[in-house]
Amino acid sequence: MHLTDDNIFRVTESVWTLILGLELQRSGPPEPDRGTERTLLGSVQIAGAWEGAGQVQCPASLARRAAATMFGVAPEAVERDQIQDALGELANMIVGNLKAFLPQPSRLSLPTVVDGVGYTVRIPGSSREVARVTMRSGGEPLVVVVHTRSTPHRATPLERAARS
Amino acid sequence: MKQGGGMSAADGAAFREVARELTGIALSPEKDYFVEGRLEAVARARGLSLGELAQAVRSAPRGALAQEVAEALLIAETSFFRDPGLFEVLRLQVLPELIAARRAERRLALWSAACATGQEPYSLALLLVEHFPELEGWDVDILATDLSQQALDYAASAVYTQHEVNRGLPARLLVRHFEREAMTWRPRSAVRRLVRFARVDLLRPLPPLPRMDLVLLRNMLIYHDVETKRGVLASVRGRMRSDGRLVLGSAETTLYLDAGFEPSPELGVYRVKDAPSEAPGGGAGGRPDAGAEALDRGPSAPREGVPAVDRGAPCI
Amino acid sequence: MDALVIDDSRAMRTILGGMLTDLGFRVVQATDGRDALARLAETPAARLALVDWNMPEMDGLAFIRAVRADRAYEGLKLVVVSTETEQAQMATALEAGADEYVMKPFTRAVIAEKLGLLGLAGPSA
Repeated sequence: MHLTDDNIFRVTESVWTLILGLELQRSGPPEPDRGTERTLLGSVQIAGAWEGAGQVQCPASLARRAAATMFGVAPEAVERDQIQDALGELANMIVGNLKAFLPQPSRLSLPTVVDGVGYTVRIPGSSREVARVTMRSGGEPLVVVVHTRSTPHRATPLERAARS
Repeated sequence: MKQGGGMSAADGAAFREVARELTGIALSPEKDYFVEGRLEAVARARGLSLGELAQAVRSAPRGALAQEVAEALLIAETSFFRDPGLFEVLRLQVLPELIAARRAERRLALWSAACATGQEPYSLALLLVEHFPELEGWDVDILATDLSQQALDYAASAVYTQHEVNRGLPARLLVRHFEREAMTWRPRSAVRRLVRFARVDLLRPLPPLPRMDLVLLRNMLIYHDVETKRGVLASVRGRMRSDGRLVLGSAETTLYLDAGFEPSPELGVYRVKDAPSEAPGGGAGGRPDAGAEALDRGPSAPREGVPAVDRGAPCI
Repeated sequence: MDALVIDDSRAMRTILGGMLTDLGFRVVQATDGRDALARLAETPAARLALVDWNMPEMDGLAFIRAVRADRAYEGLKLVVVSTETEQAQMATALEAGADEYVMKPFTRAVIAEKLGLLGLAGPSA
């Protein structure tokens, strides 16, 4: 029971095919972000016997296609808050299933979504990246990253509320 | 929700043609999406795309790869407790009657005759373990057979994906009778030990089998013509107890095919009417006889005219 | 037949709501457990609720406990649809009064088959 790149791909693929009906392939690292493209990042914290976070990141255009499938509308008709909601739920499903490969018991936080250009993300407490898997769906990159918290983190009131 | 979209219509047609050539079974294009995932697995194992796999079987329609594709196509769409109404009938009517009738011998033989990836026989085992504690100490035997070795290997490993246990399996049974290993689930040994697997081609003379109390033969006859249906029903009936029950799929019947069965009041369940003689030496093999152990607890010499059941033997 | 779909994700409510509508249900949506209790009071004939676990305000487990403490909702079937898939958590939900449990991700067939188990709809194969 280990969190390997292969397991991360299999989990992501099952969410991508069962929920979205879209294909997904492993791929090399994406071209470096030039800081000009709008991307979305969905993040879910894990707390309990294992502490850390999982993140799902993709260009806005791929998140838009995913949202269109989930909401059953044409991609151009999807609104921005629908795209954010869809990516949050996809992150929830992907990270939630990755939890099966980590020490238990543990609980998930509600997803948070960052949507913008050239942002950086900081995980609360000091953390270390333990896995990064790059995939492609319809030619667009999808990246799943897992961080572990290396020092105990005192939950913020918001996180405590999400966990209870 | 639509499923993946990787298989072209032309590739689908090529795969179906291979299956028809090798097995005589004509599959409809509507079934393509059932099998796409399995074909993708075959392709991926060889480092091929689906298109390349289709090209390979077109150029060698009788090769090993074509054989593998045909087997993958034969694995029927299946789920745990498929048709829950039927399993309710088994739980409330059929099994209590059979158990009452076998109280003296304390022996029950069930046969899942087209078991695919094993969800059906394990559903039977779960039903017995969960609802019939009185069978403790009985000789309970669930024989699960299929034409496809790939399916049998999968079924015997009993390692199911999260998606497979999500389908049709009551959550209470999943919590109580399965062990979880990351994203896969496996029935506990108390369930697994009730089921054993063997490759059997129902279109050929059957190997020696125990006399069956209950046979599930669902969604297999629909693929075949009337003569073949008759042959299969007669040979299955030859392996059943005189008060045995046969369960068919919802689109199947014994009517006008085999007068040796009669419909019972429960939909989809048939009773043996004209049982062949149970005396030893009867064509179908009486019970108990030496041959009846061939698919039982140990190896035994194949009898003349009866193919040995051999895992991995070419069958199609 | 009325059914509640309770999930904080609008995308998930849309997917589940669409599946239930296709199966012949009239669907009422709620965004968390507290919202769901209010909607339920307005929809007393509801026969089914699909309920997420992790939600703000009131989570799915608290909602199940609240519903099971109220005799008025005895006939309501509760199906958890969650990304929480630890066996112990599933057992907790079932003990609290959930009738079924669906692990995310799922397909239309999964939902139809679970409803079939509860006698609410035949699986539409």
